[in-house]
Amino acid sequence: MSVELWPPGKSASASSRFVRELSVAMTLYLVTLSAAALVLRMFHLPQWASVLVVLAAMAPAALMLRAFVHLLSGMDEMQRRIQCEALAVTAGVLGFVCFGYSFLEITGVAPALPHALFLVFPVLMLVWRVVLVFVVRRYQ
Amino acid sequence: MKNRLRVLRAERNWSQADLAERLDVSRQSVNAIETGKYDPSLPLAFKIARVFALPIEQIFVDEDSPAAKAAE
Repeated sequence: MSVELWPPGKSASASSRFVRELSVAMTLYLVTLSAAALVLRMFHLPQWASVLVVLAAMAPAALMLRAFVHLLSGMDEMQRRIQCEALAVTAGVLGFVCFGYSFLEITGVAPALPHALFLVFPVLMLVWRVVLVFVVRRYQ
Repeated sequence: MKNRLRVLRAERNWSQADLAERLDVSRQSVNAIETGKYDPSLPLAFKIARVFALPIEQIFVDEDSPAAKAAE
């Protein structure tokens, strides 16, 4: 027997709603990000305006977060527990990795990563997906 | 915690999906409860009792209770 991992909603309607909301948010994010990059390249804006343009892409990103919150609220208690355990382990793994890499960076063993903060979210999502597989197995 | 969910469900000819729909949970959760991998919360346990129209102690068995130990 397999446990449905993705989309992990309680019902098919909750899952399809999540996919729909996430797709809209990601499309808006890409459009806003591209538009912001274009505006910054074409116009010489004052600093405050540049900040607003750059941060505009974060609004659709907030919609992605909303989609996840809707998904979580539509889950049943066991699914929420699975997600909670997976996220807790993910946070721990990510914390250890960041901490360990920082030590390597300080000692000069590993190169300093430029724009390392950009990596946090994609790595978090990746680790979460892997951890989720192992957590779900405990309930099968 | 042991339970008689699978037996009670079979007596009523309900599938896991049928029971999941009645309880408003996923089929995976029903399966995890039946196999003892997940212990439901108190509100869900009461809901299960309501669905089967049985007292909660006739569905769930506290393995650590003196009665259960005496039965073993």
